Amino acid sequence: MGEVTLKPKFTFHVPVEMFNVSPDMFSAKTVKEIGELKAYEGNREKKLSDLFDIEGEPGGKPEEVTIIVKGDISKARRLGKGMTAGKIVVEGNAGHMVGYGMRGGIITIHGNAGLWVGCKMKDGVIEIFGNAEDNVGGSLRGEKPGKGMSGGVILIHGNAGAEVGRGMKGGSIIVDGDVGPLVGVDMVGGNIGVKGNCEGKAGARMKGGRIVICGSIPEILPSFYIEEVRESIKVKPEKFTGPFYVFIGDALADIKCNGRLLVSINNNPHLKPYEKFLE
Amino acid sequence: MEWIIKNGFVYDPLNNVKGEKMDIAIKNGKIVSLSQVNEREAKVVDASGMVVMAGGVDIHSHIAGPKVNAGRIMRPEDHYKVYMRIMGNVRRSGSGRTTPSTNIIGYKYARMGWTTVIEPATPPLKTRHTHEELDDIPIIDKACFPLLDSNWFILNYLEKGEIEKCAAFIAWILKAIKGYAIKLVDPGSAEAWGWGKGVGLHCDEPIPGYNLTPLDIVKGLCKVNQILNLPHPIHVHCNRLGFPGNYTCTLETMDSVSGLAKNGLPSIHITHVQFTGYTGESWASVGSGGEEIAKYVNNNKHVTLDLGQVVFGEATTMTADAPFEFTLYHLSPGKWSNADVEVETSAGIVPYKYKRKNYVNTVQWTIGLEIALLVKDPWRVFMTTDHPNAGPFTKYPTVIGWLVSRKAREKTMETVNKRGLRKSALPTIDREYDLYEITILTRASPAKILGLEKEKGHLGVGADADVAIYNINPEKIDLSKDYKELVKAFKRAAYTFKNGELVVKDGEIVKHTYGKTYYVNCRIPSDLEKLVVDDVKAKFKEWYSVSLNNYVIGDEEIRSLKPLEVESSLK
Repeated sequence: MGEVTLKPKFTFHVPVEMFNVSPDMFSAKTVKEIGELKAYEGNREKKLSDLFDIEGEPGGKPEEVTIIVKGDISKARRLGKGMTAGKIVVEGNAGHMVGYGMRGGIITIHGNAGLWVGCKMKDGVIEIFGNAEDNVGGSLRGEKPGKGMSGGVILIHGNAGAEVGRGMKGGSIIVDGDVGPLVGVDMVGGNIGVKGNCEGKAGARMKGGRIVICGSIPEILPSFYIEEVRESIKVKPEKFTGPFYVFIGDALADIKCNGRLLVSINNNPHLKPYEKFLE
Repeated sequence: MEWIIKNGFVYDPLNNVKGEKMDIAIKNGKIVSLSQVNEREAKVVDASGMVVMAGGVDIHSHIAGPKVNAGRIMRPEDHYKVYMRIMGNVRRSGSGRTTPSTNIIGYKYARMGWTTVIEPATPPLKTRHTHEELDDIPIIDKACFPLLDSNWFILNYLEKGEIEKCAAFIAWILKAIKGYAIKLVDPGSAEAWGWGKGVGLHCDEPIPGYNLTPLDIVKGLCKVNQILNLPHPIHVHCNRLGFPGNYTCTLETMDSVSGLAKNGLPSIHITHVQFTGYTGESWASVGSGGEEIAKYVNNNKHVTLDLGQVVFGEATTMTADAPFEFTLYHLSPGKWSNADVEVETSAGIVPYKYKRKNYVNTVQWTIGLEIALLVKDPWRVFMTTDHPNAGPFTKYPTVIGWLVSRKAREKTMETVNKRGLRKSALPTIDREYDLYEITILTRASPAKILGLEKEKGHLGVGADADVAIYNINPEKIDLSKDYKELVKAFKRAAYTFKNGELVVKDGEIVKHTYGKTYYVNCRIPSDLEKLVVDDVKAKFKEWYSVSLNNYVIGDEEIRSLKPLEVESSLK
């Protein structure tokens, strides 16, 4: 097993492109070769060794490589882009687009993450012990529904921002804390589990997939219909126990209403009037 | 700066030069005879084993204007992956594929060896924006065609039969907004769209609010074009564009002005004819009307065409044909944008993807090629993709590949929808263009139809020194077999000269320059002009939300303005 440690040489004040920091790029390279890899600081092209103190020894294969980033890199962009295996650990905050389009491996962040965590990821695991900002597992702006994350798991132990799972197609996102508005906007598949509260507009324009909200939600969008009451549901890798109201929707996106929005009954007494539609 | 381009195979159809080894001399931005340059001081480009052509002329490409900009705003996803980085002192940066930034439009055209590009649709009210954007596009020369088919002034004049006044108005508006020719988009439909009608407006249906049909507008403006002696014939996007069975409408439109041709010159230019060449009654039974259109064009000399060839992949449809965009939005859900320009026109934008396995898209792909290959006279059919409606202009080399090589077509035919292919005559067509015909199609004939044949589209003495040099040896390669080499060469020109300056070397931009903007300055009798301007002044306050002073574009607002002086036959 190889381990490489990156330590920022100074506090970054402008965005730093770190798309070359991934086990795939580091494997079978010496520390010197790693230092020669390209990075951008603002609009200036730099080498990784200009920005980081690099130590350790990577393994021969991507799955054997562990990259440890010691320090705050909240200005970093695209850490672990397209990685297929191996491990990245950030001991501090990470910036935007962590794990952009990743296909495997594990990214662990012992701090907060920025926007677009796991944007367009296909497989692998991202675990964040702090909070994440908007568009977790989301698609980029302007893209059609279903162009977001298509597989893998994102675990967030803090809170997440708006538009969690924007345009997602598969995989799971579990948020232990609260989420902002528009959870699962444009989603066509996959699962989102929220253990805290949601700010509303959950599942807008969803065509498929499941959203589970264990906390409270101010209101359900009028284009959702109540279907049934359910005791518990399994959202890989966890099991959520309810009871839940099950809503189907979004009728405005797809008349077939394949999307499922599960909302806790106990934490949402104001949704009681929906029960009369169940008989 | 003086240049001599030595030993290239020169293709220059306007001067009947067909692949001869010649030297071309450049001095002060013009092509000159060899004796006029000082051979010792002149820089030499060794073009031995390469093809030398005039810079390409694109007659129809939506590169600037309010709707292009709206398309950029609407499609951020088009800009993530395709970008050009800045190169210090050489080029600026930009992004986008189907809706590129202004800078990289110029660079990409120059890299392919194209040096003159026409923006074919600009609402007169918003032409100031169009000129601002055109000014920002580096390297290429440009011009814009204002949309005049649903303008209330023109409709009123035509309804009353005041052709001379209408002509005077058009001469005034071309001068006021620095336009080049008359563009008609789905004549009359923008006016009908203002009433919530006009979806699939037939060319002999009345336009709401006026006692006119689209054909009356076409005929009227064609007459105006003849009266004013404008350099380019009316540029018509036909009615019922994008509706199955519309080829009859196209034939009727072409036929309506058959009697108006003078001196053997074309009287009408049908643009992106592929979109208006469908047979069938619904999308399920749509077929190719390419043969009928080609037959008509072969028999009648008054029509020129451009293809609007579909290239598979992402595209952004943007047209002033707003009702059609409304229809397309329902066919291909996603994003849609629509706009109305007061008094004048409307527009719409829908992103679209042409898929190989799609039946309709395959039929569309075959129509353009069918027409190009069946029209016998290469001087009357031009290659475009109606950028970005049927595909980005960067795909021109691919289209050239299909035209020169049956093998290339067959290779693509293997991957497309088989049912769509059966609806077309394309698999049975053997014709292959040669390099000389390609030169006609992409340079000489567009320059000629634009009335710019004195300075553009050829390499004779006195022409602008816009030269493209491609790294292919016509003596060594067989185009129909080695079409890939031709496509590769056309993707990146070996050298491109613009106005006597080397702008592209080995497919990379080496210099950032700015080209000219052409407009038509049509002289009309001053009393008639005054009459029309008084008319405009009286109505302007009532109809427009801007004042007339803010409508007219001054000469000083445009970076490098080049008027084309025209004498009208008005008395």
